[in-house]
Amino acid sequence: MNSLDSKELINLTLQKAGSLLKNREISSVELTRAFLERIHNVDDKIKAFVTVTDDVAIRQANAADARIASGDIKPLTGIPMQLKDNIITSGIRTTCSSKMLSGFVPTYDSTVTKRLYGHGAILLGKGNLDEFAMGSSTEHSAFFPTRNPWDINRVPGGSSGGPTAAVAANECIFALGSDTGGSIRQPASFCGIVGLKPTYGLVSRYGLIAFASSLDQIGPITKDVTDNAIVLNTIAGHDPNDSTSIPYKVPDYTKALGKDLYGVHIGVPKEYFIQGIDTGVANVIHQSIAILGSLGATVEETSLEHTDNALAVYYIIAPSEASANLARYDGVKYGFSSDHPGNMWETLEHTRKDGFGDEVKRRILLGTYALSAGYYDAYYLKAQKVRTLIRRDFEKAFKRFDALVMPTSPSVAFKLGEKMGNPIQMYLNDILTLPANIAGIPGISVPAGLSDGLPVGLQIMGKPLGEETVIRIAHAYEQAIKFRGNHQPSPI
Amino acid sequence: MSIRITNEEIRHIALLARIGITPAEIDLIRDQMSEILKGFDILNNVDVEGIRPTGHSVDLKTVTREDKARESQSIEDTLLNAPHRQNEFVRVKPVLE
Repeated sequence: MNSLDSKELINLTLQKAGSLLKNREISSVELTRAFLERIHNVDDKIKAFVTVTDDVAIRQANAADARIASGDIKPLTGIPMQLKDNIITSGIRTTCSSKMLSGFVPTYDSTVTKRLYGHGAILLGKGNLDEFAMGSSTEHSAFFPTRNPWDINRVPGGSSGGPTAAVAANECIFALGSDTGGSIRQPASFCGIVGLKPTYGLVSRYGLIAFASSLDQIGPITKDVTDNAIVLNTIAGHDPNDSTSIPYKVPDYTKALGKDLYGVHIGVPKEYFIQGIDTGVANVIHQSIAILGSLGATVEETSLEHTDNALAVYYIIAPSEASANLARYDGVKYGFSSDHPGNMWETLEHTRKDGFGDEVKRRILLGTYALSAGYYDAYYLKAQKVRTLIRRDFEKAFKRFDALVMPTSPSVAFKLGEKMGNPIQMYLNDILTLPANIAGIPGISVPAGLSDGLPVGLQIMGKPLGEETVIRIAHAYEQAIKFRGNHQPSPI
Repeated sequence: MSIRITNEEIRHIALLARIGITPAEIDLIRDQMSEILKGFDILNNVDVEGIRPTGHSVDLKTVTREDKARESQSIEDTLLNAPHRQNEFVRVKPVLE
């Protein structure tokens, strides 16, 4: 029954693979084996995986084939995936790419994992990230940096650099990442693929190892917009185990596909075309905006006046929440424990000194400072108030517009090591993505073109729970430019 | 570069956060944090008079569930990842000496 070779199998989109599985033209076992072979052939160059779960994958693929044979097939049944390694998986090491959790084996599944398993998706392994999702290049992984499939001397972005590189390098069909300030969208942009950060509360965070609880959100990373809608259908929805998840009747997001853009009002906030944005990136995005107009959308410049403050607000709120969330790593209940011979307090300090990397420690210290007596009002409380103003900017804009478009990142993928010595340079990577986390709104990055041979992402932000509109625009745009059909990374 | 934060403050925060830092690291941490804090000055120009803080982007109400006993994780699973254990207990260093 096999008519495709392994090279063709790994290049399939989720939708295409799903239809071949359904028609029994391929089996999940052969699809899964093709991906495992691909991982074993190329991942020593890309380094997208922290853990490869060969045995689990083959077992799940056999079960999926049996399920398909019985006529019980869902869109993700038999589809091989990678999960970012801050999404916990029962019985499978989940490290957050940190020495602190390098031996941690969860005893339960996160809600998203449970849902994906329930639909018959296949776990190929766990994806590399900046330690505890703190970073924009995946160079802050305690294990190794991940490389960009478009140019292995460049970063894939971050913090979901493992998942985005894995999808771009055909090491899995889709992946899940997490996005606290741009960690799905920015690496999706750098790797020339599609990444969605859903509305805060649309996808359960139960079993996502916490970084900044009011900003974190899990989302799909896929080869195209159609696949993204399919994965979102599976992971979205209320979860009683996450008290911040929204009780919401989730629509079928694939119904938003294949529509034109007549009647859609799109705003272009001028503050997102900042000084310091690469000319090549700006050129590609200006062309994209013209294409959106030619597809029927009304496009108009607008202003979000508090945008300048978003970076400061984010780098106060996220580290503050992180300092509280990461207080749990004490080397007692789980995780790394220093063998320092001192007393309890000294051992605790050594556990956290040796278990965390520099960026994580920097953010814990920053957050501790912002929350400490005498500084709380000046930093944390002030940032929360400005957060209200940033939200209001968006609320105001969404009275006029159905969506806002802008670049995902000010630059294309940069070289490894280029920004590692300068935390502020690294933080500036998130400047165009983090406002969506501050406001809790959805944002997608869709490939828009190339600049110097490297992918540029177009970002589309929508109203709270406006994923259908965001997907509709992204899909219409994707169909118009056919990025994936025209551009792929050179063979690895 | 203007110093926003002193070595003494860095040592105090590190103690609050229970993160050991070495004397060799402290100047670099101070300089980097000073630089980051300088970036926060932009917020001094924002008028927030009468503005309520946002803690969560979703307007959350207290979520409750029925107070009904449920099966919880087994002792063995709970202790599975503990670095030091003895029988059914987590082993820790003396808290009061």
